[in-house]
Amino acid sequence: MADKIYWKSIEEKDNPELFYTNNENEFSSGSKVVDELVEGFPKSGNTSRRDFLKMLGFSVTAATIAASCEMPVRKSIPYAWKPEEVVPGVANYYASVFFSAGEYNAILVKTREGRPIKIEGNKQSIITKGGTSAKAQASVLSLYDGARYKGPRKGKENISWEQADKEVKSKLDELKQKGAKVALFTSTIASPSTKAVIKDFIAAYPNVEHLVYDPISYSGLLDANEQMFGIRAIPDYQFSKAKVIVGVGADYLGTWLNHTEYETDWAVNRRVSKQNPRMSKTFHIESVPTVTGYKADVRIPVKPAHEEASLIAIYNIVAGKNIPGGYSNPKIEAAAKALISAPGEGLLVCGINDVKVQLLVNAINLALRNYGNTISFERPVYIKQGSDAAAATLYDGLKNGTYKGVLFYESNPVYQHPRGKELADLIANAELSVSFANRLDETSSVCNYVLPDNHYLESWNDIEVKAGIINTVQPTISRLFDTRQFQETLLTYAGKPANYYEYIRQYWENNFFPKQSRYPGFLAFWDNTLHDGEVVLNINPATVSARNINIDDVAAELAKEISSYGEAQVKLYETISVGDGTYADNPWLLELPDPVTKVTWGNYIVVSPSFAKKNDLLPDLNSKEYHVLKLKVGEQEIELPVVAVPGTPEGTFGIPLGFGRTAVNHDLLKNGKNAFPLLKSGKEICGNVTFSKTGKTEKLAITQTHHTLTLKGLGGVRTRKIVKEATLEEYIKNPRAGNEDREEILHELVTLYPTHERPGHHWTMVIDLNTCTGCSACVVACNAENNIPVVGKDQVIRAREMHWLRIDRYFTGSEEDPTVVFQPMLCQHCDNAPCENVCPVAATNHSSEGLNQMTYNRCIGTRYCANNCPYKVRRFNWYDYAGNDSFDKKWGTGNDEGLASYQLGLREPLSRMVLNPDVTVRSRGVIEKCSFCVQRLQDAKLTAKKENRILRDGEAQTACQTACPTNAITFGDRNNKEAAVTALFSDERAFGVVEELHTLPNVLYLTQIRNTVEEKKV
Amino acid sequence: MSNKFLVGLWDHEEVFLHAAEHLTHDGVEIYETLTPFPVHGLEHALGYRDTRLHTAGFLFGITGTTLALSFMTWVMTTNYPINFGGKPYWPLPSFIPITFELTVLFASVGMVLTYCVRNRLFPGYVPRIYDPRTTDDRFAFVFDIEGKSEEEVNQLKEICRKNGAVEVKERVFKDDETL
Amino acid sequence: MHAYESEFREPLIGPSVKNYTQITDELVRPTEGNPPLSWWLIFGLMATGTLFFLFCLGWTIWFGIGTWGLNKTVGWAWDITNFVWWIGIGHAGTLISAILLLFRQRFRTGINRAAEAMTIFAVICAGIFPLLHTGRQWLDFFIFPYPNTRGPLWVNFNSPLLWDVFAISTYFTVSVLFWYSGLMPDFATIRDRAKSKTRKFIYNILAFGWQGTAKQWQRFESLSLVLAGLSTPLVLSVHTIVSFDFATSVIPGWHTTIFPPYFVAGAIFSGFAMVETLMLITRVVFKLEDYITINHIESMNKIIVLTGSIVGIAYLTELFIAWYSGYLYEQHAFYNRALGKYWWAYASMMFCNVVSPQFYWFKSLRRNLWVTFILSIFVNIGMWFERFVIIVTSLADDFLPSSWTYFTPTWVDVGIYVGSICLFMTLFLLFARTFPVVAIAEVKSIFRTSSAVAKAERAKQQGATHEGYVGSYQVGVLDKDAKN
Repeated sequence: MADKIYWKSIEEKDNPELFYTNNENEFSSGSKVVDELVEGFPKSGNTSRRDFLKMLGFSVTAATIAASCEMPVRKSIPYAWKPEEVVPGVANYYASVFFSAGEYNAILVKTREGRPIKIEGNKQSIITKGGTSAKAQASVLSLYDGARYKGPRKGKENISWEQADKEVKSKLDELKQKGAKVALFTSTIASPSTKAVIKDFIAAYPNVEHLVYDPISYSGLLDANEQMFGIRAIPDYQFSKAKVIVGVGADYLGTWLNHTEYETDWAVNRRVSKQNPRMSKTFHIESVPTVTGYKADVRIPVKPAHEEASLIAIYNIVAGKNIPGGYSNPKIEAAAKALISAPGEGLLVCGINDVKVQLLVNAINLALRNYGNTISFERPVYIKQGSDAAAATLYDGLKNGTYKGVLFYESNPVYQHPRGKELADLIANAELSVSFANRLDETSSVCNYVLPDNHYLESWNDIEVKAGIINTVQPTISRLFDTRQFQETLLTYAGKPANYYEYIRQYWENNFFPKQSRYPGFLAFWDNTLHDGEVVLNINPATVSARNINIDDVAAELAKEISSYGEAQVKLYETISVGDGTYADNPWLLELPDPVTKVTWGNYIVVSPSFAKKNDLLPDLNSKEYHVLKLKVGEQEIELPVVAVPGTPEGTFGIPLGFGRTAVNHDLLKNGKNAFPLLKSGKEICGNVTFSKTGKTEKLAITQTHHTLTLKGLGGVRTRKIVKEATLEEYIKNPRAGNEDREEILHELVTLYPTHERPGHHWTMVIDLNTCTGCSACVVACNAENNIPVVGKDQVIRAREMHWLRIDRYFTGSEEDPTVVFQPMLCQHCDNAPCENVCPVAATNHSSEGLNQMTYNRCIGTRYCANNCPYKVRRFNWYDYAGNDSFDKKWGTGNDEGLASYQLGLREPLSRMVLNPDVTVRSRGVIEKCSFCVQRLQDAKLTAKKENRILRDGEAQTACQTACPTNAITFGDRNNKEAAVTALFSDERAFGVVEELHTLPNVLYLTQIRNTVEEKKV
Repeated sequence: MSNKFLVGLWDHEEVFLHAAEHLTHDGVEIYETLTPFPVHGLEHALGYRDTRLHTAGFLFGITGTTLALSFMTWVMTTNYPINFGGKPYWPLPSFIPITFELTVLFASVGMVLTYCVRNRLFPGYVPRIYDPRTTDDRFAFVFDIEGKSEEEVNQLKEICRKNGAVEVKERVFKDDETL
Repeated sequence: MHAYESEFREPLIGPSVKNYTQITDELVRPTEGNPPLSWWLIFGLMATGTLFFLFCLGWTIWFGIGTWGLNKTVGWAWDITNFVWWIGIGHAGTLISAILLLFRQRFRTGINRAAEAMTIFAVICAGIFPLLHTGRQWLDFFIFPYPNTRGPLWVNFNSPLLWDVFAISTYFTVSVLFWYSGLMPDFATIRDRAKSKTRKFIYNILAFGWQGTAKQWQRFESLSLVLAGLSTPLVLSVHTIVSFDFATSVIPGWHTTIFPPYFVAGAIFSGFAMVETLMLITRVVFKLEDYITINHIESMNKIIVLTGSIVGIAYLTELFIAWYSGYLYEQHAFYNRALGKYWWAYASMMFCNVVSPQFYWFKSLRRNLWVTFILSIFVNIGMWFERFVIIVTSLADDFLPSSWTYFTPTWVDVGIYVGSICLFMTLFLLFARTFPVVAIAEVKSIFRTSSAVAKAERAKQQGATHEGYVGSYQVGVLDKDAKN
């Protein structure tokens, strides 16, 4: 079937030819004057000199007008039948859940005129509590992805559903007759109803086997739990209860398991105040730096092998054993002692996918009586259920022909499986291969049938990520393309009525309705659940008891294994941005700087600065040319540019997974190299690595070449007071700790001028550096909310990224073991804004509510304001990034490479559906910057006004604030004495960046407090 | 107006200057004085009044000052007051540069215009050229001899020669004469 | 009658110039007949360059400022560097005609005409950049305070960029007026020599119908005096205001109170250098050695060594104050300038602006044409680097290390800069062809006092016995002078 056609107006739809001819002579309609002028010219061939001059004069003027008044023709059509609930200009929110690529977020979907445009956290969720992750925020863009399948396909050609069903069904039947096995290969399925559907399907086709495989596998953890507790599930880690948290290579604030939940919980004990000057103590043992490590009170850099070895050491200390092969150092001992000192209040988590390791971890936690306290099996977590065996089974099955057919749902083994390449051929040769992928990926492109699933924002579904806590997924837009939900497809083949909605309701009525007491009738139950998006059922908690396993042997075995690793190891890890690669074709995520390395659009090898120095692999920071290194792991080789990251220990090579996608719909999306082939054993750590220099260099789109705050100035070694830190002890002694100089600074700020009145609101933001994890969800949220263009790798290399909100990353201390602070930097809305004074055309000025306003129409783009901004938060539209210019887009960018936004089709009607209609799309040549989400403020004010009341605190919220899983951002009206922000604004920890300039920023930061003893830091 | 002139030409400014003194002293009526470059003291010798051009310039300047100041004040305080970077609505220091520039601008432009008007200078104006060399190396006195008798003219010629004129000639313009 | 001038003061007009007619002939000749081949060659080259300049302009406007090397942190680089550089160059002309006139420096007469022309062309080149560097050049008219339907929304009178607009347009206007009022009499001279009717006609229009009557000359003198009085503060104000672009900002390395005097000195410095570069070529091409003499060159070199040293002191003061301030950001800005990633720019600036002019302490070098020519080029390069250093290094590393970047130009940046030089030269060459490059009337007015011939003659009248040398010229010397 043909691609769906998008049209701007009835006229265009009905009579395109006419429409386009009209468009060509743009002066034909609208201006009478112009018409007359045009009439004035003789139609005959010979034009006199005067005509020529007339023409010249006219065209010059015309050109000027055309250039200056950017008013592209926009036609709006009224609703013939207005859908209920849809009020033009008013947003509707629908509760849903983002469960994909191993991420779980309970969300609200913001729709405008029936278009989902933004993901918000669902504050009612008891799991993620309103927190969101970068991927969840970006998932809305994938709804409007040009790479989505527009309908069922056979090979490369489009076919109808009827044909597809006929052929696939007959093939299935045929295989059933033959008794040939068919594999249904999926990633973790947390949907009870879907599981039921699959059960029905298997009932109809007993020859189908359901294989569950997660590319980022937690098989080790699951198996360990099965061995130890007889339950193959992930326990419910309760970070909020933990006083001492020791992480071993587990990036629980960034990517590990259900990290959004863990972030929210972690923050509970990290939020210090005078009233509650207590906080948890976190140790982090890791090789490749992660946000979790950088946020830890005590970060213990060890090479990958020692991540495992350190566990043996901890076990030795905790269990009073003496198993050889452990790796220890004072900090690790301190960590172990801290755990011992807090029995039942500690938590040890480890991210290494290895049964032995996880058994050891379990044993330690058991010994510390953490089970039942900080770790519980009451409500096991189903976020990951896959097993590494499944992948092997599929591979062997296809190889030796036990599997004649294979169906892929939410899984992309060709890309994500170590043996992907071979799998590709095997799949291609299978008798039946079907992919249910909703957009182009490596696996679906080798399958002989693609039966596209709906995007989750178009689907019905339910997700049970924790036993008895169920979220609903509901469609927020009618299907954009001729797709069909996976479940309905299966139901069709199972010969059941293909209505998944009815199916779910039925399933809920039978299984979940009885498990709750709140609602008497099912309808009430169902409707309310849909509304809230989440329901908690009363279930009888699973009771588990630890079996007796000889941990010492396990440890000894592990020690043996570690000793075989050799000097250097590779550590494969997920990045916050693209994760396991499922979303590696999402421009928002690709352009999101990794909080640790600050690299966008591609992956690299993370090494220690000392290693880079030794082998002179230090990059040229001016040209951003990075040396390319070749790594050899077993028979696998990989070539990637080298990034030296402070805090990486020697003998470590970190490689982010999820890059190097090949089946994407534009070359610009093919970034970096695929590291999954190295993930042979499913374990992130590969030993016996050899490296060799290639002599090649490659440009990396890095947004912050690392600089430490400590600088050699003419006055000797001094540190910029941009971020302020203190230890907990210091803070308890003196709440101003680390922030002592502020009093004096404020005292020095004198002015001759009278200050301006703030009669109404005075918008203010306070960001707690202590709870900011740098997870960057806010950055993507800002992108989505404010229509921030994607500029692409080439432009980022030229340092022209457009993000209004960025996460600044500062190192202090030594390169081997630095202290790191993440600082979200956005327009500070200074009351004495340097940028406002210098604009010659008054395009930026100050509102009576303390907002630093930008008038795009008035801006001529002198960039003086950007130069004079001490915070460098103003962004200039170097090109027609957003496609909002009156200039022809076809003309590209002269001597630069083409624009990502254009080449990725982000300026096409489909992708533009994601634009927020409340925010102007900026044209070429104007400055833009954070507006404190003024459109949201106006919305909140109007709501209050309509209800004829005063605006309540917390009603007006910025996009970054709502996205933040740790509530590090507080926003509100400083004129409101009760507002939370007012208290924080005058808090002893509050400080502004380079306040001594007397810019009077309306954004303040709270000092970073570390629960550590001063000596330990050095 | 008259078309008949007597032109006396000198080749040395000092001699010419003496001549000017004598002629004015003798009360000879000089119709026009032409020199290739400004001869210092000539205007005194001819008893010219000082020019008031600079006074005009001053007045123009003052106009510029007041105009600039009042306009900016009106814009920033009355017509469209905007808060720029917390500065007051009437930031006097910010006005100084523009005020100064406009003062100079008005003074100069005004003066030059006055200068052109008073000197009858404008593109395309065709002057009477009594002798082309007066812009080269000759200093000239021009006497109106329209309707003067033969001997009066000779007398003039005589005076000129006596005062060191290197050449004395009559110049008659046709009514439709151009360059 | 004439202001007394010591016989020992070196003549400003060469010995071969005997009388007024000769002056007229020699100074008008370049505008008559065909120019020398050398002229055609240079002109052809420069005209081509100008075309490329226009191409780059079109390229920039069509595709956007993105075609330049700028980035999120460095919002200005070559564009404003060129702007300030040209404006600086544009300072010598008015300075020579105004300040030197007030100080009654006779040597100005030989060079003021060309210098003023140069000023005007330099200001034209300069003016292009602020208009070009905006993101939406087609909306540049927003910067003018005109009544409009947006409120009316006026401009922001707090913005130094707006002050620039006024300063530069005023400066341009006044320079043109000053220059042209001086040109009228000379055009009249050309007119009266002209053979063909059309030539007469054209030059009469250009001369505004100048006659040269005593009254005209009287007003002429008064006008030039007052204009000089106005231009003197004006010329100082222009670069002061340009320096405000930086001085009033908050960026370390920009926010400096020393800027106004330091910029003005720098402007004069570079201005004179450019005048020399041009004069040295012109006097050869048009054989004007007798009017633009070694003496002129030397006087200019003296000014160059003076202003150069002032600039040098300013650089050192900046460094000292940065250290003395104890303000880390300021300190880093200058540390970074001298030893940071742009050290090479700073080094070339220091060498060209501070070291090279010091050669002029030696008379022999001051009077050596080749040395002068080469150094004048050096100074121009140095002054360009000064602006580059101030603008780019300060921006590249300002307050937040997270935003630090590095600027690398694209071919468009280079094209526009080189192109603007070609435009400037083209204009100047055309000027030299059609206008009298030396102020004829003014030179005549000093002939009796300062020409070698006149001096010799006068010496003889006063009974000079034997001959002596003043500078490179042979003149009569009186006994009493000879004795001591």
